[in-house]
Amino acid sequence: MSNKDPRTPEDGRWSNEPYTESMLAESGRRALSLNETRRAAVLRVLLAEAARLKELSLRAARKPVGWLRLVATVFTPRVALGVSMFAALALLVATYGLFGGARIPSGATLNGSAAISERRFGPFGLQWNIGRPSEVMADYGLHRGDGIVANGPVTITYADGSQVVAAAGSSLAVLADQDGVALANGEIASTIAKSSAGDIKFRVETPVGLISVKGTEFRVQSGNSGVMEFTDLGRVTVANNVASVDVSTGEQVQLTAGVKPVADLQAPRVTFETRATGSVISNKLRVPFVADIYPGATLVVVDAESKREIAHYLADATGRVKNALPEITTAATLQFRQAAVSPSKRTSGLSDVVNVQIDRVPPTLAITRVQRDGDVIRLTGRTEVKSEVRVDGKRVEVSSDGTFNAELTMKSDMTTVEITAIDLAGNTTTMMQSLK
Amino acid sequence: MQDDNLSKGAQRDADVALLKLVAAYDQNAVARLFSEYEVIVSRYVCHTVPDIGEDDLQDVVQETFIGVLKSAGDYRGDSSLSTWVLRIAHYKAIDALRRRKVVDRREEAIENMSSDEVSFVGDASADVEEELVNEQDIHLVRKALASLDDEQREALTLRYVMSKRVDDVAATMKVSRRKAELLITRGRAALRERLAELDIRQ
Repeated sequence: MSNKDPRTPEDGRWSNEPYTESMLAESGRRALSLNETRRAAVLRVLLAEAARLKELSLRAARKPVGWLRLVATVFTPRVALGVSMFAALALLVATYGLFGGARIPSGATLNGSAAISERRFGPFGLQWNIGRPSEVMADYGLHRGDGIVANGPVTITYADGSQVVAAAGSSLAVLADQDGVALANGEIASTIAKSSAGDIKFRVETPVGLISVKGTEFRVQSGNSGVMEFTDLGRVTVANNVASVDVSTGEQVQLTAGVKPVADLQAPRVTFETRATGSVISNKLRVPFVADIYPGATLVVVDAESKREIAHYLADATGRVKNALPEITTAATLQFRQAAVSPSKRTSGLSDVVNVQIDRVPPTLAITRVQRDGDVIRLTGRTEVKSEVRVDGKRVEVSSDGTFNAELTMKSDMTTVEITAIDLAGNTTTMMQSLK
Repeated sequence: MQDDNLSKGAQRDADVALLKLVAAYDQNAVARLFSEYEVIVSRYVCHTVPDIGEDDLQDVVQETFIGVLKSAGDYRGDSSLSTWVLRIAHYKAIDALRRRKVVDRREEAIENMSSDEVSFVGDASADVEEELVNEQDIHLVRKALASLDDEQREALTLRYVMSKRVDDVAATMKVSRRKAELLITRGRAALRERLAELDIRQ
């Protein structure tokens, strides 16, 4: 074959395609694959790789599918966004309803400057508040659950005429289920219309307890130990988480969380017209006094030593007692208490001891020296200790030992001057001093 | 390699079953697959990457079978297993060609190509007399094939060296049947021309 003309390949073997194809196939058959060592090396790598991949897949299979991964698979960011947007919209529609939730009238109106937080009632028992800016309100219709922050004195008037006056700075809320208020802090004074039916119709809640009222007038000061005073005839129940107590007019209740409430009357304060401090010194045998207790209550005068009742006086409609003590000859030590009206008939504790002295002797008064210097006259004198001295109608200073000095300008027609001494009991001594 | 006694369908089922085991990283199945297809892959790589050395051939074969291992789960029996394996080898061979800048060195390699090139060591079992006749022609064919462009060389390798049908050539090269036909026709013409030239030079 090799002796064929190389320049005429068409006549040669390479123009014979089956021959070329057979040479190509032969080339394939004769192409050696990898030698044994290399084959073994590749197989080793391959089997090791298979083992490695198997271990990896087993480890992946053993790993539990965490719920987080499951959630992450189901809730792709787009799905999560869609779901949360839908939920937010549904919640918005559900809670606000079409009109921003319902309001329930309480029948009470408010007058005064206050910030109101409107309570809204939505479906599914949802409730929320919408704040209103503080403003001066006139007959603002309160709704159940509304919150009130009083900027000045605020009056809440109920349909039956009951009134609650909240002091400035108080924060309270209209009760959601019945007439009444919840006092968070501050002070309220209330006049509650009497209920003929006798049922509990008004309630005051404080952080330490609640007061149920059947018609009375009372004040509540809220705090951790709210002190409440009750006036007017009516029946009040004060209760906290421990116990409840019926309270009568004029009584006071100390309401402390976790402590059984006790109703108590305050010892009365009695005032006398006297210049003395620490004791009462009077020149009257029957010493006048004034006491403010509760309307209808009784003021009782007690001998401080024997604790026996000396006298008693009934307060007028305003709770005032203006009277005079029983006759005292020289001195007495007294105490006072008040007795509540029915139904409790409790009496208060005793007041501090009051010393009463009767002094009907006029004070001593003497001028010891008169000094004249041109038109100026200087007087020196002595009187009873703690007495008051007036020279020519003008009050002059008296030192602690009773001596006094006075200076006056001589007038042309002046020959005498009037000097008066008044002691603590009110007894007076007057003398005319010659200036010549 | 392929048992001629098995019908085509039965062969596919057996291939799918084997690949299922390979996908589960069964050591025996991996070893079997390797022993059955290593020769095909090596022959294919030797012809498509003409000047490949022994180390590089080992690398490409290894990469091919690791690729087979990792994507065994994807085999559905749509094509024969050998075509599927060769498709993976096809990409690895292209990688090798790129990596080694074969294009730039091709001419030089062809000139230096000798009969004792490791990947083309003569078969010791071949008939001695015939071998003397064919040895030179086989060498010429290889040289001519190596000088073709990559696509024509691969198409001819698959069609005539690997004895693949045109459909399998197209499937392996990921080209249309029409394109495969064209590559084979033009490749044959080009090969004929190169052979004639080489013959004259000799």
